[in-house]
Amino acid sequence: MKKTISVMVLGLCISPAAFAKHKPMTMDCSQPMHAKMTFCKDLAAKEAKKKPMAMDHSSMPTPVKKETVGKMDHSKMDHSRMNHATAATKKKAAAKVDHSKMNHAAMPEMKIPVSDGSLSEDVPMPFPGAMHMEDDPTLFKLMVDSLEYQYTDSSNDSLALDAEAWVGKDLHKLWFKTDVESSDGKLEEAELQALYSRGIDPYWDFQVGIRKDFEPVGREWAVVGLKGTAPYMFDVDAALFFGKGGQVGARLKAEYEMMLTQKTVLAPSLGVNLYTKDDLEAGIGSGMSDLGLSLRLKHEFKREFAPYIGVSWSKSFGGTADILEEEGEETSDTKLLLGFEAWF
Amino acid sequence: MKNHSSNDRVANPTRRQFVQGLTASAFLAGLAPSNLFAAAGNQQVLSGNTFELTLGETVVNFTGRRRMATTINGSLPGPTLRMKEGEEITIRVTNTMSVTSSIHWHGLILPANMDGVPGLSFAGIKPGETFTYQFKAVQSGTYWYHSHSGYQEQTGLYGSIVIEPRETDVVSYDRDYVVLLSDWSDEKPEQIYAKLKKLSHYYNTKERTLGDLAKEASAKGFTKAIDDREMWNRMRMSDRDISDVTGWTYTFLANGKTPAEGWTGVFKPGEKVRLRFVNAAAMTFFDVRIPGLKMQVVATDGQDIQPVNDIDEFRIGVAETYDVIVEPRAGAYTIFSQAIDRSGYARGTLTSNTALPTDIPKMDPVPVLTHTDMGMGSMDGMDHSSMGGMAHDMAGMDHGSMESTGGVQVKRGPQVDMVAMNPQVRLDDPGVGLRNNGRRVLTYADIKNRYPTKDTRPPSREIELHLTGNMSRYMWSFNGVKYADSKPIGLRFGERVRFTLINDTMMNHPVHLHGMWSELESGDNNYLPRKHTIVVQPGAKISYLVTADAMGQWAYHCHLIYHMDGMFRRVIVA
Repeated sequence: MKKTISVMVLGLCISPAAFAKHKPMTMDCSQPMHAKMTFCKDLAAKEAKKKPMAMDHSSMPTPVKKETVGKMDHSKMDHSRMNHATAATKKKAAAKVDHSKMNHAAMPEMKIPVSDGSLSEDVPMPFPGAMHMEDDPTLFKLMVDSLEYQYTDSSNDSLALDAEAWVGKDLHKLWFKTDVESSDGKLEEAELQALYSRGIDPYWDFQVGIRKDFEPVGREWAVVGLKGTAPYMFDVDAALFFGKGGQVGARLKAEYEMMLTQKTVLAPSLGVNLYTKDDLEAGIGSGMSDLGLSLRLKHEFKREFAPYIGVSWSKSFGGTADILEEEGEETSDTKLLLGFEAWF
Repeated sequence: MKNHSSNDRVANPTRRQFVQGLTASAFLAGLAPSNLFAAAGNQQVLSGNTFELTLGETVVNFTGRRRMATTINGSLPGPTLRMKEGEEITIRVTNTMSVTSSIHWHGLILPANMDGVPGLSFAGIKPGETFTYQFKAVQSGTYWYHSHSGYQEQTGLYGSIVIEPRETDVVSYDRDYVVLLSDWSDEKPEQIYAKLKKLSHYYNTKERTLGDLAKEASAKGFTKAIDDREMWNRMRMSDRDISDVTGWTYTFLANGKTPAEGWTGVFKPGEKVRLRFVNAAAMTFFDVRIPGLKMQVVATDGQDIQPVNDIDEFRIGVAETYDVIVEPRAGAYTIFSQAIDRSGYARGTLTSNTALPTDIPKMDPVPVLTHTDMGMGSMDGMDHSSMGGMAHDMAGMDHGSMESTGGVQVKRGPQVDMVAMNPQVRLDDPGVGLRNNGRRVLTYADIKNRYPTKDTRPPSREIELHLTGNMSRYMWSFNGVKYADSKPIGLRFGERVRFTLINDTMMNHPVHLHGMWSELESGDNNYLPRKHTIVVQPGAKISYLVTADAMGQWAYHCHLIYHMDGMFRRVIVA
């Protein structure tokens, strides 16, 4: 478990580091020194050339205002790469050369300003509203991570559902999670989370919202979590839960999918819960309350549907285990799993 | 003229003929679906200077299931338009579909308002409307046209254009055929896009498995095999990530024919045959070869190049065109166009006798990306099998602080999963899956303009754009900024600018500038080849020069249809 947590922390460290952005220099071509620079001369030459040309602006779909284009990208150009100190010297040397006889195409590469080319201000489209580009449509995804029948020797068999759904865009989603477990037709555990999920890194979403427990007892929590893919391709869902009376819970779920073939996947997973305080009614003792390990062998009949068989082992610890023992229940359990994973 | 001898053409079909054709195919569709795609695959050719195109919907059957395709004059691909350089061209496009449409003339130099991009050139062609395009054919060569609205190109709105030169063609040939490659899916494009957003590797059926690791371990030792995995696992990426959308959903077509059916072109022994390859696919790069024949590559993107002889194979990026000359002896030859990820192929046959059987070659092994493709520099350009140690070094690096080497800084973030650390100019790299395959493969380094560079001014400035994305979230952008959040790129009329593209992703991106030539800096500045679409290999850097000689607002984008909406810029020349 320790390793998994450290893997996760590592993932967080890889999130964007601060970049020392260069300060854009402002350049005024009218200033004597700058005026000698190649780029300014070039611009000046273009301006001169441009005037006598008979350009029919009226034939353009929407004439672009010259002022706007005039503001082009100076702020974003990397003028710092230009060699100001030697500009004058270079000019002297250049004066001796007959440019008309030179093959510019064959000239060695000169340093030229580099930028992303974008204008500092937007320019209206000639036909606004006609371009329908939708890179980020609102989508909906329902994921039954596991719906399984759990067989066990020590107690009654149970039925468990772990499902999620989201609706939203690339980086902003409304995310729902639910965990339900029933035994003998009676709900043993039921919780629902509603979260806002925000992409903060290539592989991580920050999630914040509420959790409502229906069974075994009604509880409300505030949720803060991280969900994503850690290096080495671990799917991780880690959350902190803040309940009434200063109770804090923490949950970590991690799964790894090892592809045996293009369709057969062996997926070990881990789940652990911790609490800061006892909650006898809910059967929770402070400290690490339970740990679950499972291994599922899935077969993807199609991407969206993979039945599996599996085995899980869970153990309760500390105060939680004490409560179970008092109730005469086992603190550790091994189960055989039969179920499926599906999404659409 | 010899050039007119191709027998796949139906000269100037009248409107009446066309209507009959449609009725017939609709009738057949009801009886026997398999007959329909024969009708849809027919290569119609329209010649002259005035054309009538009707955009509509037609039932097709490429897979055994009937689906609705968007078609031009009832066919998929649309008719080949044959015109002559120097002529004033009129094309009336009528939209009979229920949604707004458009046609863009890919690679043609024409006024901005004739370029066919809704929002920039015009408001689009509304249902029931006819738009009349008028422009002068100022160039010759092989081009194509397609819808620039939504995903209509994926569902069939594309066709080829052949512009015959005003003077005698510098390339001599006895017969010419267009070989238009494309990808068809029974799924709706919106559905494909949604699936990619929900599970980006949805269509990848060639993922790495435990078996691969076992094979590698036995080949090079367990420790080394694990070491080689290290970087990929750390970066949460797959070296099998070749194509986003694959043969799992695509049926690859040659001139509208499925691989089972195959397109056939007939020649007489002794003839020089010009094949005009057009990649009209939405997402698929093809590796094209004709076993038994050497190809002479004479043009790319419509423009004559200095002939490159004895080519066995070439990779054609989405939206690119290549013209090759072959001189087959009597026999049957397969034009084999494998998808870059080897998930399928498009097939054609060049034969002197249609009764002859044809051999279909096996597909090559599934390509595996290397450190070079990750933009981590290149040791020797080709052989990366000895780079296990490097993977180990990479593992110690802080990928979060990688930054670009040029003037534009891109950082990792929700939209950008990787920044190439050491992108190389790899003009002579045939690309992943084609390296050291024992065949002579065309590379960009082979391509030189047939004519001297017209604008010999050096560029006055450089525009650097990183092709960025987040594969797992399926988001695409330039410099980490998607189109919706971007400002237009400004060019001054008449200026000469260098565009440098750095590919920070693991995919090839074909980048298309509308309205102006992209003069690829392929090695000889005196003979810069003019292209309309430039392929940037994964982890590579490439540059080209543009003379901003066309006023107006133009589209500039990655031509992969599911990347385009993010990896897009408006270019304003004023």
